[in-house]
Amino acid sequence: MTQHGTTVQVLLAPISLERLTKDAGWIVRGTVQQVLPGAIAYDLLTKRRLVYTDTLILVKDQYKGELPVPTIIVRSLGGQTPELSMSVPTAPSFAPHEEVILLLSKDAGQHFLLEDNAFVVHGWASGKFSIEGEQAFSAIERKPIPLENLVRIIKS
Amino acid sequence: MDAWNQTSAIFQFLDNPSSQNGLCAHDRGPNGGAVAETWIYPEQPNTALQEVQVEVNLYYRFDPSHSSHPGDASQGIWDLATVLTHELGHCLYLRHSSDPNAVMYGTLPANSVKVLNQDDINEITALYP
Repeated sequence: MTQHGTTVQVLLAPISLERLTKDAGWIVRGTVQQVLPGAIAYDLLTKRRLVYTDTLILVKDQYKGELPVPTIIVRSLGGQTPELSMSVPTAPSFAPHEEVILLLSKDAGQHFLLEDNAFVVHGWASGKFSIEGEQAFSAIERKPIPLENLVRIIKS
Repeated sequence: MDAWNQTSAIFQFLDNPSSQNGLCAHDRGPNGGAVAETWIYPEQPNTALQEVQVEVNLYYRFDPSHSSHPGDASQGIWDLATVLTHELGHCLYLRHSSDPNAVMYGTLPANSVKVLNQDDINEITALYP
């Protein structure tokens, strides 16, 4: 049973999609294979206990950067363990089988380490788009953008 | 703290020098645009707040700036009073507002100074009537 709950609220600088695209090291389209149970780590700077969640993404298309393996880990701050829960409204969350376009980086803000095949979503939830038919939805605004337009911006 | 104390909501921030809670600052790098963050425990309103930590990201430049770690001015300059008013709102269990003019809106551009607007006041007085 979860006994403790922490919320982490993050104030972001607004970043345009064009800028997010420029700064992301990798941009991929893929499908969520599995959302793993939360894990506990210690913030690298403050040593505060935190929870992170790993999501396995099967990459189908790469728009930017090269990935060594077809399945990558996307690590997000927040999640649940039997001992601790942490909600982070600004962090991206995933559902199994969800189709997504992700802007990725290796900049975890020194909250946790990232292995070679692990990434974070660049710009927190701003860098995640859910694909539904011919529309893509920004995870932070839930505002639809035609998929074709999103891919054109990403590729330009 | 004064900005929130001056609303008609029934609470008051008090200085408590012996508290373990407080404000800290670290350079977390760009961190996807994260200018500041607040950790709150427990997360449910109307329970006794046990632990809160407000942290500003010294990768960014604030006004006034940190004496030994001024941050990267090429990204712009963030008004520290606005940032801290926003973070202290989270300490009162306020969530991000959908009003772009509210202090509690989830993003804050550089070179932007905000004061509590009607949406902020409505939210805090609804939470502490």
